[in-house]
Amino acid sequence: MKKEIRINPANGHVSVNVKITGLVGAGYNLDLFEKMSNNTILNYSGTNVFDHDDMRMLPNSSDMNVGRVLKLNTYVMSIDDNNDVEKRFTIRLQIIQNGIIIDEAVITDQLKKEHKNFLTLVKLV
Amino acid sequence: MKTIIILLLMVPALMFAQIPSESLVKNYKLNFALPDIPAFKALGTEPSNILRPSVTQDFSFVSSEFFNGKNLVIPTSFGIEVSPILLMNTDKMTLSEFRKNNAFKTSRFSLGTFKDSLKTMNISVGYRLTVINKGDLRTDTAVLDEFLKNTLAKKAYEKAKLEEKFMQENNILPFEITSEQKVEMGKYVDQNMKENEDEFESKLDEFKKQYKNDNWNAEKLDFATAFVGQARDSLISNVSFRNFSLWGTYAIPIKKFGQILFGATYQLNRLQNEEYHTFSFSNRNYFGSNRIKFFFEEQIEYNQYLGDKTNLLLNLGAEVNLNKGFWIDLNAGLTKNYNDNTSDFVSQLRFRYTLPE
Repeated sequence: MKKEIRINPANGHVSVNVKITGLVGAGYNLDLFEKMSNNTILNYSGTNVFDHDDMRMLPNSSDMNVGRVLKLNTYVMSIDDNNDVEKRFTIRLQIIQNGIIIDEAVITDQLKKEHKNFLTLVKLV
Repeated sequence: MKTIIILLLMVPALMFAQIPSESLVKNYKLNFALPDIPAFKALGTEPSNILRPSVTQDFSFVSSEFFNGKNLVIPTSFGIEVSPILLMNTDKMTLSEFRKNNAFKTSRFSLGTFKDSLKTMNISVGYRLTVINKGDLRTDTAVLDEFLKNTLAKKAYEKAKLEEKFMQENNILPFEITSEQKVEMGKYVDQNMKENEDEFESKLDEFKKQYKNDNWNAEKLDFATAFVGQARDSLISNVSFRNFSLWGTYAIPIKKFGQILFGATYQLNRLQNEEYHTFSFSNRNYFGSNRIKFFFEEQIEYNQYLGDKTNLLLNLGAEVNLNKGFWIDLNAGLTKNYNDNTSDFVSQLRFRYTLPE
């Protein structure tokens, strides 16, 4: 999943949130890359067990984040007893300004008992 | 007793001779029994009144015996149980949202039918609520969070760092990576990960298996109700009220090897405008592991409907996981009627099928 998301450079700060829906277990790692660089300036990992700990404010003001790239690696597994039913799930990388979700990169898939991994790349423009 | 032993010896041979392929698994699921369902229990096809608590599933199915000792037969009764919220909305909710009002979300509705010896059609609808639901990985935040942090999140971090290294060594910008470079990066990551995907998959499977083994006897509290109606024909408009049942069952663990169930049941029967009450109190004790369990059970029942009878049921049984998802559930015991001081032998053999882990 690769997407460009337009932010308002004059509008305060930018936050990101990883939201995973569906009754699956997930672990993720999020990197923020400096513009035109492959060096990370922010990194955090998490799980989908709680909702409140998946949001981060990006460093610096909004204008400084234009051109930066977010890279989200996510692993998803089944945590259900019922292995014959495919569990649908969605991974959302949400970009937030002033408390409003301005856009998001979305991956929707399904799994039975196996685990899967996904890559999301978002460029802030 | 001899018949039961012969049956028990026959069943493994039958099972192993016909191990299903994966493609048949869904069909088997519709044809074999799963845990107790209120609407099925209310039909009174089993001597035991205890309604065993279970983990909420989207859908489950149970049928009466389909093996009469000689041949496979069409079951005379069946029950289905569905959890509407789990069937409809799970892909739209996060795990935190699923845990909110979890008792409501574990609500299950069931439907059962039974044609009795007088060819009367009985139909029942049931509802079940799980108030205490331990041993469900989806709501066990402490265990799940720790496990996901140490496996999936760690793996995601390791992968991300290897990808970063690959991009730095090859002067690739993250957003400018081409499909070919992505394939190369994938190979590089696979070669350098501490454990390969198969090993990782095994680790996840092992965790789920271990969790199940450690929690098969977890604490649970279920309440359920069911209404049964009957009709001389198959027309819904001709269905009249037959009985109403209420259950409460509390399950508590004994370390990792046992589980005690306490159950109370009330049933109101109506016959020719007369109402009859039935009360029963049951205790069932399981010992063993998730794969092999033995149980003994006592039940005292006061039954106005059968003529002010007071019955005692003593039951012994076992549940054995034969192969993959196949289970045998066998029990035998005695019912003693205190009014006329008579005893009857009761036995039951059921196959159950749950999908393989």
